[in-house]
Amino acid sequence: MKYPVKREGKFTVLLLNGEIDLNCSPDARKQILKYLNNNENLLVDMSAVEYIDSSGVASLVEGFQLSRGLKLDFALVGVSRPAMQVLQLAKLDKIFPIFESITDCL
Amino acid sequence: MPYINPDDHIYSDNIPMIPGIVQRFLDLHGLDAIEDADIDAIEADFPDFFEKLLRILNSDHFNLTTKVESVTQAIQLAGYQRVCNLMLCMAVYRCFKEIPVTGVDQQSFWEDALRRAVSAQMIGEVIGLDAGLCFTAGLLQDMGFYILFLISQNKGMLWGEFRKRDPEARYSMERNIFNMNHDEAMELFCNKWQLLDILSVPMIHHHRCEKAEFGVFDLQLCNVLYCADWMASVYTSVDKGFAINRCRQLLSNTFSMEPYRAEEFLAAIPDKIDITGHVFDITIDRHIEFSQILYEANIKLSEDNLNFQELTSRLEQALTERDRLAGELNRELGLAREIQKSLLPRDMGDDFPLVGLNISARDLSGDFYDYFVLPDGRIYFNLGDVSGKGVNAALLMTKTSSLFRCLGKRIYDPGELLAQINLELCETSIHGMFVTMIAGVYDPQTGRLKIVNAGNPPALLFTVDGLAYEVEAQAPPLGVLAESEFPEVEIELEDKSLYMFSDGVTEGNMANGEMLGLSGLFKVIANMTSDLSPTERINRIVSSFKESSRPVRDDITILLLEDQKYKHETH
Repeated sequence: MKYPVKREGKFTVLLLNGEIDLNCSPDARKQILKYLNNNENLLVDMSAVEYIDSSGVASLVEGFQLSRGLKLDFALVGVSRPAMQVLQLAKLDKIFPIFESITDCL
Repeated sequence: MPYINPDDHIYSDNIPMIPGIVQRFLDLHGLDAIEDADIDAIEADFPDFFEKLLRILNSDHFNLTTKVESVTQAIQLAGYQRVCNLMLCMAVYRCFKEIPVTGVDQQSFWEDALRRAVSAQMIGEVIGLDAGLCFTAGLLQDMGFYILFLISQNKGMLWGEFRKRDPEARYSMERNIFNMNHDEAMELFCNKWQLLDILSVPMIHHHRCEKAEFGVFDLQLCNVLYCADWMASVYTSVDKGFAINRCRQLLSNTFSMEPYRAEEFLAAIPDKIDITGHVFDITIDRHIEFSQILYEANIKLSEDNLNFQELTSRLEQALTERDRLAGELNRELGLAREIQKSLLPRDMGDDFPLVGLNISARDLSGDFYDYFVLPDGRIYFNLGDVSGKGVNAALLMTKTSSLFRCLGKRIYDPGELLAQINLELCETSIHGMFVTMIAGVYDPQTGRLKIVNAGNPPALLFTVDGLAYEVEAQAPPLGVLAESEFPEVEIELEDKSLYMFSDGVTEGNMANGEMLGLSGLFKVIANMTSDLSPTERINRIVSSFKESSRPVRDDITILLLEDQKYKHETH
């Protein structure tokens, strides 16, 4: 599966959607890593994520770790309620930069 | 005219004009009766053609009862139509002989055409169709094929490739190479030469007999031509065995003939084309007996059999290899599972304050729990859950639990211990994998414990009165951020019960299909009577969602800390 992407200012915005589980997370991971490795500042729009499991969160973690190494901006925006609950439960909402909307990042 | 496009005149220009002799014969059709004088008039204009025609009329091929002196006489004996068909064969042959295409071997084309013609003639004789008509249609049925090369002059070098193929394979190849089929080209030809429907309709449609809408007679001739096409291909196609079988099949299915008829017909072709070839002045390059064809077909068949045997043997080898590898993998997984289980602590009995349970959703688990007693009598415990599932999760689980056991014997503060494990995991981080962990040290002497929750679902602390407190995560999971801090929480456990669990528990489905959730788990625990042993209570929690018909999606791990010493004192 290929998730949609758009440009917003200096950011590449990746729109994850649906269930980011063991089946879909490899695709999400691939795209996240691709843009970062291409030296693009990345915003992951999570407003349409209905469910995310630990493998999906791991993809975000990997993106977060890679962005730090490459000194690129990486943030989550518009995190949906079910995704936010997972992040909050694991205290990852304190780790990832999270913004309500794309305009907040610009 | 389904195939004709307005642009077809471009193609049609490549087709030779209708010869005068044919036109003159066609003109006779408009007359009520054909007078001898009309024929004599044509003969006067085309004396050479008539001389040749007469020779054929008197040959064994035409099989007249008496020798005739003139074409007029032949028409009286055999009928206008039969003579007309013969004239057409001659005219087409003579006309196209004059327009060679580079790369196309005209001689072999006419040799094949003769094979089709005699095949159609033989079938026609058996099924009671006009054998002369069958011969003519058989001879001319693939003129469209030659016309394709006339239209695309530069494709002549592919002639040999086409000839090696059976009629259907050739038909598909035509579409790829010429972007049109020989029946479409044939239709252009029939239109340009104004051939009668009785001949043109079956010839145009012989590859698609079942699709054409025409009368019973047309359909019969159409089937004859298709069958003749296959019979001729026995002598030219590479896979002769296949072509022979197809002939048997067609003769049996279409004309209800015994299979041996196919061999009879095929065996008669070489002699018949020698005779007709001689009559029509078509040189037959080499007389090929059917026995030679059968010999080649058998060689091909035995080669195919050998290939098939080899293929079967290779397949068997591959399947055996697959089974062997699957067995090996299963043994390896079994060993890994055993090692994983050995990492879980053994049950220390109900007097020991900790009891745990781990159920794996797959062969290997990404969850774990552990406890061990420190030299000063305190007990270290943990429960962890690795992100993802499968072998990679299991390997990280093994690494983390080993780090915990190893470092835990020197670092007594759980916060410090988790910080050290976190550093190690961050240093060797792969694929963003992380570990949620709840870990602590319990002192049975004081009934107090220090606990750290790193990204794990909250632990539930239940008092004897049934009140519950959540011990939420204060830190992110291990392996995410090297500089994370892992604050400890101090708890007076005494007669309380601390339930720790992985998210597989709260995300497990109950019998009604709904997720258990934190509130569901809370209810299950609160509803259990205090006389149940810790092990019984853990089993009760698991059974609350194991009754679901859905398979367990995630690993399930529960660890219960409860000191019976204090419980008994309370009672």
